[in-house]
Amino acid sequence: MKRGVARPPALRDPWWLALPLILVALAFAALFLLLPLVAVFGYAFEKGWDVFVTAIGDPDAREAIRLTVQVAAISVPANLVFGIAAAWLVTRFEFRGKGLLVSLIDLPFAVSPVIAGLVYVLLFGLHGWLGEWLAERDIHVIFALPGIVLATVFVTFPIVARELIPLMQAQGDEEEQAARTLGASGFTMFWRVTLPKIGWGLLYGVILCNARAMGEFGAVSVVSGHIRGLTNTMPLHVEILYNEYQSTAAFAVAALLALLALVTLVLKHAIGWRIARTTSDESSTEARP
Amino acid sequence: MSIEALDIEHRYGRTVALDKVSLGVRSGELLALLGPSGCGKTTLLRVIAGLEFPVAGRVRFEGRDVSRLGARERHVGFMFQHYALFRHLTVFENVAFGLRVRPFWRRPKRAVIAAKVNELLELVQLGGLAARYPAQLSGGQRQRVALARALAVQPEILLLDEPFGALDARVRGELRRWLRGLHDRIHVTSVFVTHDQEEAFELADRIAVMSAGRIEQLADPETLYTKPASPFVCRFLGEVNELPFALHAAFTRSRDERSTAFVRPHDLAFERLDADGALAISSVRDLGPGVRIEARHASLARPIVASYARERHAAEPLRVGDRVALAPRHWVMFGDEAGHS
Amino acid sequence: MRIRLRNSWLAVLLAASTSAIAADVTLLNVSYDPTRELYRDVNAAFAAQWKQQSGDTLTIRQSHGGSGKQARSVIDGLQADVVTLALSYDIDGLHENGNLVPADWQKRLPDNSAPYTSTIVFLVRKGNPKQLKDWNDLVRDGVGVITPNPKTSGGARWNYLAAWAYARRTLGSDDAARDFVTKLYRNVPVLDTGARGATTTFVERGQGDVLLAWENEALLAVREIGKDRFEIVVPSLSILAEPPVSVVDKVVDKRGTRAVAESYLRFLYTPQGQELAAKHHYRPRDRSVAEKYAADFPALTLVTVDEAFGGWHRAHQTHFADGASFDRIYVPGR
Repeated sequence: MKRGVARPPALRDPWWLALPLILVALAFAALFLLLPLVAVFGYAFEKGWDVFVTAIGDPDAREAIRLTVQVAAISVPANLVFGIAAAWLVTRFEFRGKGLLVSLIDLPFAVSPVIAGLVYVLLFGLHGWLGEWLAERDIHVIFALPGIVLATVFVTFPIVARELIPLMQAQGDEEEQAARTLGASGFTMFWRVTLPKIGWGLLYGVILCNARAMGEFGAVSVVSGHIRGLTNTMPLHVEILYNEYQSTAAFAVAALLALLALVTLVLKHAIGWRIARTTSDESSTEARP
Repeated sequence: MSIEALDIEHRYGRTVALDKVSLGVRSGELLALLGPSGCGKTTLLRVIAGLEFPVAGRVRFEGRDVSRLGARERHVGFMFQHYALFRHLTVFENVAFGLRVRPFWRRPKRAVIAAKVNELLELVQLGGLAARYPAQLSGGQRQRVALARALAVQPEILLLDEPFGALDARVRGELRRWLRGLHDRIHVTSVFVTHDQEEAFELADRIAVMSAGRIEQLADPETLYTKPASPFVCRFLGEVNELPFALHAAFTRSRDERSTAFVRPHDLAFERLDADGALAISSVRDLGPGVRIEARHASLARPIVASYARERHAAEPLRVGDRVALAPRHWVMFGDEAGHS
Repeated sequence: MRIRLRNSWLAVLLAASTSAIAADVTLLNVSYDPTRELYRDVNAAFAAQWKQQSGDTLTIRQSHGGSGKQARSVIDGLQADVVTLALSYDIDGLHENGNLVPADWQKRLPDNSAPYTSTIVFLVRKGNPKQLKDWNDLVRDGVGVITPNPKTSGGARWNYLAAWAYARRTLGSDDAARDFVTKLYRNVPVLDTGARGATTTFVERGQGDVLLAWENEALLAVREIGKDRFEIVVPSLSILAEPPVSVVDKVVDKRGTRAVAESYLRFLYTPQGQELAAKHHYRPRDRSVAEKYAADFPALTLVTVDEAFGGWHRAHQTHFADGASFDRIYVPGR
């Protein structure tokens, strides 16, 4: 893959076609992506830095931030493990119903997050399938931390798996086979051969998963119970602030989330660039003997 | 260590990959599995390695049944067509891998591993490249690293899956000779897979010619070439003229009208006829090392080919249009009678 | 050595027992949206009082949301010690689905378990330039009325029923009322999906001349966004909302918090509790407190949903179900 080489004139689009298209694309990006982002930060700091800090420092806000981080800290590693396991299953084994499994992995993307939340209420709620069983043992799943984590795990589940599956398929499993013939145990093979190979892709998936986990609204809203200072995550807290006519505070918390989004984007870009570079290095075969 | 594969059956979905195949490899020999793509040679190799498990049949190493063991327990060295080097490890670390992943009670000390690795790298003539990464090596170098890596764990069986398939012609030739030399020194029982007849002939002590999941013939190169067991083997091992009864009766004196005589181009000569004949020279091409002469017969769709050495043709040159008769030196008969001349 | 060890064990025991005496208690109050400010102050006051009386440290957690949605959550297992919702209909649901409260829950506290009431009022621009005094002023030409969509907003249904009740009382028949309400909704330039949206439209975007809202919501909006730019006008007739409260028996019995919870609800009826309600613009039941705040709460004729429409269920069927009155009145785009 060569960089910095101009395309020959015959393959370039005419300027009257390229320029308008580029302008339209830029305008679209500016309007739908850039403007809202600028607006969020603008409104957040509209009344000055002090108001911003007060809004973030409010006990309910701090608790919301803490809860969001806690939920992400549980969901992301869980999905890391599930994602690797699912990707391993799909790319290394042949079995009947594999196509169905792949569709199931994608299910959370197809389903509205609100439905996801509702499903957990139907399962673990007082009148749900497991409701009585849980009530007898005084175990609280929904309207408490476990429910929020479950809902978040559900909606972010496909992210790591979908990142790994094409990567592992493209990389093939010959290196793993070689490792087996050399005497490596299953775990050693995974740890020393597979993990280094998928490392960057895994990191990419984790970062995306984290961003999604922290920003999830619909599913969490259904299972949260909205107990202030206890079961409100940052996105939920933003909604509350907004409904209480505290726009600036709402935007302040939203600015934090937007900041997270920006950081995620930057990291994503850096890693994506790194992956592209590694694959181009590998695919270049020299002709010299 | 000898290898025995007995009545191996293997399928991919509905397709039969191996159809009750049996193979015996003698200890210390270099055997080739030769055949067109899809004939099952790679499958057979992987079954021996323990990378695939057959539907039926058994595999034995030196008499011991290893059928239930996986690749890890069989202690075979395996070389992949595309090297399968660990791309994130250096050459040194690649070769050392097999020794490093041993459980700690069997693992050699670091100094011992280093010595072994360097010794092997010298053996494959890559001494100065220990710190390089696979991406920085050429194809031929990578394959040699793969070999060193496989040998590091001192396997008693070495299996190679089209080891030179991904290399260009010149490198291939060099590596072939080099591998043969290596094998002469370290007599590891080796089986390798190839679709290149020339490669099999150059390297192997014996060759198993395979087709459609079966071994057609297992023999040394000379026997295969001069006494092929079936038309398939005959055709696969090189260009051959297939002459029907009408054309071969003259020199084979056969009575079987359904038989076919197989004659190699270099075993065939054309005798000029002064009179008219059904067979006429259609092309004379100077190929450099030799001369390729084609003759056409009304009843045949394809021309009959003879290849002459330069001097021989110069002595008695033929021209397009000359009427000729066939004068083969050696042929093989198939049909109802599978005899030899 | 031995003695000191025994002393330290004693110290641990003592600490454990004293902490058992002065316990940490938590209550969860599941409420509906507009009561945020109210309960923030009520909780602080009651917790202080409880600490004085019993020595226990009381933490009251709040959850707010749409009344129906909150009831649904409690049915599904949200561990509410008390519920303070908008409609008795919602708390009835707690009885029907899982017997979380007994059938006669409403009789356990005075005034049908509603310690305060509220009503629908008009929020107009400062100075009331269009002189909007009563419902009939809202159907005049050129008046812009802001109200959310009753199909999507619970609060909006109260607006609709208030207008209908007024029209039926003054014009005499349901048909006349329908015509009146039709004209009213023709004056609605934008039908937002929720109360928050409607408030934004009126206050921040400056659309319309009058916003129909809950009394306390209107004042809250004014205070947060538009001080000195608006004023409240109370019409001659409006709907009476009696948001009820109750302990959730199943939960308090399991958690052992019945005493605290009942005390908490009774606090709402005390003069101190009633003052707090009045301060947050809920109409208090206590007569003396009501007199004290008479300026904030002008008198008007108040009718309940039960009186005027035969109960919420009937009202819903008649007006808000698919194809019912509202659907026939309001055709978007006209």
